[in-house]
Amino acid sequence: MWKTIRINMDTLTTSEEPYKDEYMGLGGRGLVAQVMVDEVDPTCDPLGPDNKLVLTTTAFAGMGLGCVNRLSVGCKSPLTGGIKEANAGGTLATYMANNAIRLIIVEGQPKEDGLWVVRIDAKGNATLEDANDCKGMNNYKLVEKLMEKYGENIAVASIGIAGERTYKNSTVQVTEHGTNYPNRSAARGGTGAVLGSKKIKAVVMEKAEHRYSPEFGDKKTFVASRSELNRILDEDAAKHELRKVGTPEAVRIHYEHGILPVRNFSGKDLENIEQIYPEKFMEIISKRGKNGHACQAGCLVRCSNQISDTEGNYQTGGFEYETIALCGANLAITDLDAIAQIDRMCDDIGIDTIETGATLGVCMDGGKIPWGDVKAAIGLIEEMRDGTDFGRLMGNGTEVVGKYLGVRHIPVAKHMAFPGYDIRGAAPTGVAFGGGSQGADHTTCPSAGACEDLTNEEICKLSYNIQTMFAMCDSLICIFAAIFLDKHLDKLAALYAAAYGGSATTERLLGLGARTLKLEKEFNRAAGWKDEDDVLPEFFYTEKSELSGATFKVPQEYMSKTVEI
Amino acid sequence: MGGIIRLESSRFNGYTVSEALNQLATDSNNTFLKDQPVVVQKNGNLIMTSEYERVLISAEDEIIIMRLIAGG
Repeated sequence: MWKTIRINMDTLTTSEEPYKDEYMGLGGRGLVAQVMVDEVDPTCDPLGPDNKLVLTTTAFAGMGLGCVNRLSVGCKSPLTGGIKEANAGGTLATYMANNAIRLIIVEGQPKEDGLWVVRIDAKGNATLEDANDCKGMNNYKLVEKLMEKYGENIAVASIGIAGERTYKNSTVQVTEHGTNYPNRSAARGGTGAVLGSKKIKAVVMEKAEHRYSPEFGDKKTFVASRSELNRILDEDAAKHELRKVGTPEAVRIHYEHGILPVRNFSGKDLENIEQIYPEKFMEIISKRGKNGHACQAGCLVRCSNQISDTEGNYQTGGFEYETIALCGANLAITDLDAIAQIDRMCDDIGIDTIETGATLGVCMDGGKIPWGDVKAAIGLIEEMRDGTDFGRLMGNGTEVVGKYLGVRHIPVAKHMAFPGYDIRGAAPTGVAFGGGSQGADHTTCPSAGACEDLTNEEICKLSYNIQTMFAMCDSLICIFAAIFLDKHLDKLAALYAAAYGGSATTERLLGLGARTLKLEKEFNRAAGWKDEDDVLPEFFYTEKSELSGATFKVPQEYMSKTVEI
Repeated sequence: MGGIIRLESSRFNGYTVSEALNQLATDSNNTFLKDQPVVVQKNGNLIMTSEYERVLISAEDEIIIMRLIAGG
């Protein structure tokens, strides 16, 4: 049977409980939403004892389907003040599933000073161990140290110095499949700060001594459907740019659609844009990197990568579109090696490359450092690492720094920095940022189109439909696999029914997404979010983007009604 | 921009969604229709890709097609 591990940091104890029947069939973002509504006071201080950090897997994890061994990290966000779910590949979700663990809940806060590691051994037993000797360590060195102590067969979710300092841009980093480098990020919303506030440096899980074999409603049907879906995934992905290039492929497409943020979302052209185009990325990869890498066990899309520096030493992995967009084009930096260096630093310190890139963008816009100045940008990241006064300010995110510097263009929604979507070229995405529950999160509603010919109602309906689809995906499977399963959603519905019983309909799957959106909105309303908070920066409405030729036009009152409770 | 299309429904009266998408890909500049995932919305409701060959378009329908592109 699946089980839940509970870590109580008030009492410094761990316990094990059966996984609740009513949670069967939930996973990922949907399960995070349910647990948060069930267990967390929405009005709590996100960095106080009453917030909880939830670690969970997708509903299909451990069942042999490709691209489902994904970790979701959830909490009340210290950045937005609302519910947050951030997901990542890596090894921990696989290890959890193999240890029959669907859910880990961290609650409370120690009364005394200290730092702990949650250790879950090969039998699935959890203990808290002293980790004071890890204080101040960043993720790469930390993982090396943990592997020396616990062996190489471990999965790690950890925080760097940023999480210890409860920076609102801090991440939970997860070790990558195949390398054990901590380059996978549950990045958005300050998840690392919540783990840090509970004085937990890392969750370390050993490889299961006996791999758990889940029970199925209809095993024969499940196994047959699974084989077919895995074949489809593998064959279709092999022909796609995601396998051949990875998410950096999106740089050109987004630029051509006027979506790529350039110079702090100025909407203007970028010289030398071709230096960060997929062709340049592939030129570097072919010389000193590799792509087609699986970030999680059983991934059949394999859109991840690794890149070495000019001396051939490993630099970073999981070098994605969003990082190139925010830490590259948004800063007028068109040197991919420099952007890869920034990516490595962010993963190491444990900070979100999106929030960091947007923060550096307002620093450049405000004259703190020059546009395109790599050395100065790295210097400011080092300030975050070293904890200077300005570095700590930056750790509070883009909005705080923008206001401090008196910058007029501050690209945030619900206090969270915009990702690689200039909403003037992606109107449904803007509606999700303004009216949705996850702030300006890149995973909620990817879209392309200024939608000037659509009514506000039509844009909101389109946004709602896309938000529903992606909330469903974030509960079941990696969104990059969902691209290939989109044509076969009926088969995925059949698989879900074979696993959990009930009807095999696509409406049922979409219902998981719709339910998640409603629960999240319910939590946020109880946390104090109001319609008047559903606002987007004025400049998107008033300044036409030269790249998309459009302004954003959907008023607040429409965005607030997009998801009804 | 090429990421979104409002379908001229009267022209595609009686077509399935699949046929309409193929026709659009053939005679428009919207090359994304050929090889990229899209979202199709009919009268405000999402049409799942697995239903493209079944769902018929009538002249009165409001059909919106949008390219899906995700970074990561």
